[in-house]
Amino acid sequence: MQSMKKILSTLLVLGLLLLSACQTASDQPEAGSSGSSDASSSVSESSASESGAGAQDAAETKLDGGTFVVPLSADINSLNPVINESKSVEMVMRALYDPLFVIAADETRYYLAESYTVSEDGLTITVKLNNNMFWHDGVPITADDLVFDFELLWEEDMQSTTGINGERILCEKIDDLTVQLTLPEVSASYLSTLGNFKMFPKHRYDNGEPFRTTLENENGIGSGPYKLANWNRGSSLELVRFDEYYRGTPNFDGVVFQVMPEASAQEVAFQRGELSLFEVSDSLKYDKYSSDDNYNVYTFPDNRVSYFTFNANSEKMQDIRLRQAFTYALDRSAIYAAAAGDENLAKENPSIYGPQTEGFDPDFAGYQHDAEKAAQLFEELGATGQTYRLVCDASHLYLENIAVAIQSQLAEYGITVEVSALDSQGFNNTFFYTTEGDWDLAVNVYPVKTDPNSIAFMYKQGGFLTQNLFASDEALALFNEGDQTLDPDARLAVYAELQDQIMEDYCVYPILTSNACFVTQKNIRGVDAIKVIPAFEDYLKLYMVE
Amino acid sequence: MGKFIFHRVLQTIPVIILVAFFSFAIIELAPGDVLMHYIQPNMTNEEIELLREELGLNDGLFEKFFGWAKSVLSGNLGYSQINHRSVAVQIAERIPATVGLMGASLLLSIVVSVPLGLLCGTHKNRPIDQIVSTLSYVGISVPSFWLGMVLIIVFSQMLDLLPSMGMRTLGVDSVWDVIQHGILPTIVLSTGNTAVFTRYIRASTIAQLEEEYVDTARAKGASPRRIVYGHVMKNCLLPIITLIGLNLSNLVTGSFIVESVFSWPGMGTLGMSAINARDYPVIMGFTMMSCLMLILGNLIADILYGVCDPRIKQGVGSDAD
Amino acid sequence: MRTETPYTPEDFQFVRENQAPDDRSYARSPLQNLKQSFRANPMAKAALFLLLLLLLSALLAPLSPYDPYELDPQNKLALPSAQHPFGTDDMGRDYLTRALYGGRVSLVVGLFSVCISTTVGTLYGTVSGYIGGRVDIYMMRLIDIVVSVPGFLLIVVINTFFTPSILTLVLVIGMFTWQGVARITRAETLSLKKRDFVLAARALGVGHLRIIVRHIVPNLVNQILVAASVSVANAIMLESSLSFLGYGISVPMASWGGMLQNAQTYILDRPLMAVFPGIFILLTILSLNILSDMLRDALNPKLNQ
Repeated sequence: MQSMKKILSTLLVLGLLLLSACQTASDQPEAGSSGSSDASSSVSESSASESGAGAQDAAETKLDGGTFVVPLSADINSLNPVINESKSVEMVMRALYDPLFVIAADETRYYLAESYTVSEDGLTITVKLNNNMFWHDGVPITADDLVFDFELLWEEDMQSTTGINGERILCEKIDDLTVQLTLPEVSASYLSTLGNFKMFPKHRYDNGEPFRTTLENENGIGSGPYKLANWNRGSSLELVRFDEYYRGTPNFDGVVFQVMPEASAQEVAFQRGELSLFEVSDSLKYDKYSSDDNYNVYTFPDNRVSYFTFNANSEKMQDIRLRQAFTYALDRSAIYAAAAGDENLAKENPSIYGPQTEGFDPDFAGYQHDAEKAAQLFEELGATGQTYRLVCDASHLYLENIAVAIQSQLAEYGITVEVSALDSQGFNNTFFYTTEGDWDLAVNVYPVKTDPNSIAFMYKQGGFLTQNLFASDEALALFNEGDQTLDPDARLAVYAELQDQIMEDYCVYPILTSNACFVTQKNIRGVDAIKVIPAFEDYLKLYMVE
Repeated sequence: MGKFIFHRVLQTIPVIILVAFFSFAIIELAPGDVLMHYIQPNMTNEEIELLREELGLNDGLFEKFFGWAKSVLSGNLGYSQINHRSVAVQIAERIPATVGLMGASLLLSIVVSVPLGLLCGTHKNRPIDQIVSTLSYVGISVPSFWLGMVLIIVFSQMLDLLPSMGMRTLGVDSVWDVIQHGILPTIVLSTGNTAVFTRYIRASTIAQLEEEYVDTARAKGASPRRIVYGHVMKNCLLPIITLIGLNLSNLVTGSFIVESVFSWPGMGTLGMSAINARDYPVIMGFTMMSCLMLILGNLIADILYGVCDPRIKQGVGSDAD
Repeated sequence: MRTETPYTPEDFQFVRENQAPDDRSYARSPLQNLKQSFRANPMAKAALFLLLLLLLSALLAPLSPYDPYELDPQNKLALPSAQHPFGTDDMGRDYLTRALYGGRVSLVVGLFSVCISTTVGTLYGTVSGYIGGRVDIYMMRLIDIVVSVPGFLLIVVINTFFTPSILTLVLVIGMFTWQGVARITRAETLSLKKRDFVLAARALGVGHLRIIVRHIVPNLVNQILVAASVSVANAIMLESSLSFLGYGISVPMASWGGMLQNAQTYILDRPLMAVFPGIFILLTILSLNILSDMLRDALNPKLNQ
């Protein structure tokens, strides 16, 4: 029971971090704080991305209605907005639930919250909710819901939004639409965490049942622009437009998530017009669709760092010089070229941060390849001729190929790498949840946000997800320092130092960051209105033209 | 007759016990606390402790097994560790799609193989026989997942005739739509069995034609057509029941492979995704249900055979092939 | 004939020699049969030729100028050309070379797992048939039980508890496919054990195990051979299906099923990637099936229908 709580609370952490992705501004600085209903009309100006240019005409007419059909590679497990694990789930949740607000690099986009204010000492946050908002079952959304949510999550041991470093955040109702939060200590990153919080209805969840497993999680009564119409397990999730939505009426009548595990099956269905869009993952398809006038192609940074790492609980990996030898042995450019190679789809990345993270240094050199030193160190440490077990998550793009490339490079030093390519769930069980030390190396990916503190869940010592990583006390101290520094420049300096520290710990070996690349039918607009992954932050921006 | 059926049913009991042991082992060997598989969506902590007692999780292995068996018999297969839904409900949702696919493909196999087999048997070593025999070799040898891929390319991609995957088109709720989606999976799933059945019927037709009663009939002036359809066919069809029973195992595993190629929302896709996600309660339920399906199918085939052919009292079919 | 105990190997030789003429008369006619039906069967000739060709090319795979594991980022997903007759895969590896190495995996898994299943099945079947009575009934009932459980599914489930390698694949496939051989050998043993030479050996006090190994099994060679040849085809199909579903051997090794799994991703742009391994599997299994049919007809005239 205890371990389940742990697992789920980490999932919560993950989930919340996923939502806090917020970087590039949309093309029009709209989505005002008024919560007025004219949001839908202002999107018609959204312009196509570079690659889709030419497909769009100023004179085209916006259609009311239609169905937006999105493929999912696996059915989702629950419609609970707090417990979710992957970016595809987030795409679904975003249609059903609105966050409070989203802080991007140069603007704040308001959703459920009309406004927020932060006290000078940074310890008190007051959130004012919009008026006239309703849950999908018609009950008004009020401050009581937010207070209830905070209470429930704290009790359920889900502290990523409801606490800071294990200390509870006080959440009080001021009036029906205003809530005041009192933080136990300063946290520079908390505001964006709070903003991304998705409220869930009190009158549904106060049934006394455990939050993670209650049957309420199947109903998906939320606050978003679409509400659940039909859920055919294992095949499709159908949503319809929510007419009382407070920000206006969405353009598409419905959004359908179609479960299609096979990428090629998705493509066939897309070509037959059964899907509105699908995600492309190799150069062949990218080139094919980019040069085809019948489709639009959009790419934007996925802000996920794919990395190679060592198991802190494996006896074999304890010697820091061995880890160093691995970093000398590997040639990042060659791994990148072998596993991805197309600049449109992924970029080599030596940094632990993503290109959209504040303070990201494009010139950061990272670990240097030095074959001679590597061979010498391996020889010295007796690693030559040894076998290491590498686990990787085969359901994520590039990871298995990265593993194969690493395997092939290490073979040249006489090191055998046994690769176990697992599916997400099996991988997570091995990589995160157990500390048995039965694997030595791993290849995985983590999401990064605009805020550099968003990687804390990966590296901060003591976290549930870090128990197999070489996370050091020094890095922990820097994380705490960074989060408590309110001055932006000083703060970024701390995170730069943190990066050096993590490199010195020989904790992870970052390899690349990928782009999300969507191909849409020619008449779909607004996919790139907010260039954020997880995709479709604002479903109001999506529409169809004739 | 009743005695025969009774005996045959009795024989399935050890099989079911073995399957139960294996299924129990899946849950027992799975990492983590077994209790996690049984926590219902709306339980308090006290209830959970009570459940621990009830399931006998504090006891020895044997008590555990009986606790588990008791809960299975009462229809509780546990709860998915991933979406926390009842395993029994999830499987029940998927059974129609799988059984429908298997039934359709079995039907197709019989409808195609009986006339083909008779045709080949009556035209032994003639060109038509040679063509069909060669094709049946290919049918037996072709890997179903590969055939599925090829058919998707040809019929969905190149010719754009049939849907490539899934069971329904969005927003369309008609039987015709489901049938369209089912055509390719059914063809792929039936290929192997059709080939096996055709070869079998061909062989037994040839054997039957050498029997004395054919000569007698011929001497009496019966037309060749009448001999074939009136006598030979009747005698050939009976063994098909056994043959179906013997090939049920292929049908069950075949349907899982075909389902994953075509994303057919049946038990196979449920089981495969559970296996990939290491969702042990679902793996357990899926394994157990597939085995039971097979056992039941075999039982029905054997009983039918016994009913159709009173000479058979028991145990026939186990030594064929 | 000497009758003291204990018996020395010479005693045994003696019995065997005595039995030899009988043995020979059994062995010769099937061999002639085999030759005859092989000559008369052009399909079998073609199948044997194909199979030998596949075997040879898998054996000679290291002669390929390419390393099956060497990555070539500049040459990903290349179309077939003079340099790469089958093109390259998504990591730039030569597809033909990988297909040949994949053939090694399929053939090794096929042959070795059949060695296991044939050994286990023969032992089980002969012991069951030889002992007879109640033991035989129970042992056969056990087979009925095992047969009514979908083996493929169990193999997949078992694989979730291991990291698959060639060895585990061979073992698991071998352990789940012995029932056919067991049934056939048991049926034959039942009749063999009433034959004179077995009765004579028994009367001489020759050990039971020895009788089974030296007298019964050699007389079952034909039946075992036929059953094994079918099993090889089934085992290869099983291995490919497992690899296709992702439960086969792990990267970077190639197997036909694994290549097909990978090809699924690129099937619309590079359909040939799916065609080549599929054809290899098809041809291998087809040849094996044709040959095993011919074997059965020639060695086992009783079953000839």
